[in-house]
Amino acid sequence: MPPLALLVLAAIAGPASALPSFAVQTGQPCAACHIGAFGPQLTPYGRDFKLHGYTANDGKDHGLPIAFTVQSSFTHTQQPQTGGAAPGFKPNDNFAIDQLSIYYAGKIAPNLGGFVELNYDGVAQQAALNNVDVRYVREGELLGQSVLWGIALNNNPTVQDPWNSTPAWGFPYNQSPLAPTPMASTLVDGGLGQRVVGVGVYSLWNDLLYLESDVYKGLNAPALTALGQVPDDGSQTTDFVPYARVALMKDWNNSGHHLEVGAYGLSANVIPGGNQTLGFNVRKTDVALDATYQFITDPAKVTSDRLSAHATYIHETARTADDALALTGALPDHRLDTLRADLSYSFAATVTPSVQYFRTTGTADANYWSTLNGSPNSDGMILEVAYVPWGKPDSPFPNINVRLAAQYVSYFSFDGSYADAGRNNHFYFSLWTAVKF
Amino acid sequence: MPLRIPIALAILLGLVVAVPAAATITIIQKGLTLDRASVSLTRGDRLAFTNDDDVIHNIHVFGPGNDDEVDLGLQKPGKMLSYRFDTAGTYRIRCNIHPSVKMSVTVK
Repeated sequence: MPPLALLVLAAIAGPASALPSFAVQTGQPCAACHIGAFGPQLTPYGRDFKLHGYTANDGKDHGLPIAFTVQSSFTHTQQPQTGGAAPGFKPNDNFAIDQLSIYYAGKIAPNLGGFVELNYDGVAQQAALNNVDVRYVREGELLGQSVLWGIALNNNPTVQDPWNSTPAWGFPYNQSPLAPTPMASTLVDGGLGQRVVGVGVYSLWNDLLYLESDVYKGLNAPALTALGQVPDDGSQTTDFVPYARVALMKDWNNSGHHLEVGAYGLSANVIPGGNQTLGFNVRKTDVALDATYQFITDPAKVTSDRLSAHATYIHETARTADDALALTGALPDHRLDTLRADLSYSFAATVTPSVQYFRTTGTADANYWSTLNGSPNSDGMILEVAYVPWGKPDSPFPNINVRLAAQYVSYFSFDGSYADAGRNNHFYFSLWTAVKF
Repeated sequence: MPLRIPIALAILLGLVVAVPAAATITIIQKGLTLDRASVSLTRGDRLAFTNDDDVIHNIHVFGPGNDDEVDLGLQKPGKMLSYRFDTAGTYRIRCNIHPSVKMSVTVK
């Protein structure tokens, strides 16, 4: 975008953040809610805002809470991808418009708020309904202590979670749509995103104990198609899917320490995508642990340095329907374990280097995993540096925010192979722009 | 005549002694918290709220009745907001922007 156009855009737009309409509604800079002054990594206040149903506001009328984001990128993989990185793209060194997104995000009515995201995927060239999180929230007292409770509607297990240690909002916060990714992942790790719709209740008692229970219903193929999803690209189910979450949290506001430890899980009867089990069902049960730690060097300044650490461990058991075993030759039971841990340090809410180790291991079975040796194992590291010039109280452009990031993904093993893992290493340079008109 | 001034002074001093002065308590708002979770006041006492953060706050007083509320408005960094409690009862105070910035007040 030419500099003049950028200035014009900034002049006519409203205050911005990762979801700029939230910033307009609250009168807060992006850095108040987000580590690094750009979403989705939340500060304690960002979590509080989410738990209160996105309804906190400055009392002014700001019109409809509509926001826009654009993600564009350049991807270089260590080895070119034969046939092109994706239809219409070269084998290597590709520029792309990753996503164009429009959000309705903010207060809807007293005690009711949320966000609805519509995406245009510039690589798949497909429009779709992306994440939805709408919630009704009330406050009261229980056993002499404060209690916050709410009813939430969403379409992606963990998208409603206030911590970045669960999959939907976990690190990396954006990644290349044109680089190879490992084949195996657990169901709760994005496998049901936008493929279900669910409602749940949650509560936070005494700012200490968080409890949540949801029930999702899988969408059938016509519904998925109508919402912009490709039914066979992922797991399908039309059953009910229970999801539960528990967490203990503690904010030592004066000293700047924040800690959370928790667990989450779900169980679903799904048909894996890609004809993995010839259309037969697999019962998958995921049980996970997670933890978040943040240290804010000066809680009175949103631009103070911030240290963040997240970790999650997901254990999945999968039992394939008996009918499929004879046809596929697969083992009846499979295990898949995913571990991720990341650490970041945000300097003045402007420069944020991050590092993550990730690992997935599971039961080897050449008739179940379509990898060369039948192993689903992958592990590696991600290094990233993000630069966000605005989104602070003294930013010259309160109307717009951008995030420039350089990311390097290095695989130690990839789909069961150590020898060829490095060919999937890649650089990902991204520009993420957020605007509120 | 010469006694008028001493008498007037005595009456004035007597009034000062008889009527306790209303108190003003400063509540420090810093790091998205208030420095006190609760406070007890006498009717006529006042709370003064600082904003020692670098973001905008708000002070909203709820009570003593269920439908009673006073929104003191937005509070820029460095600005002080205050409120006098003239009616006995229980109050809740919070920032509309930061829901966890809150405290309770009892007025006797």
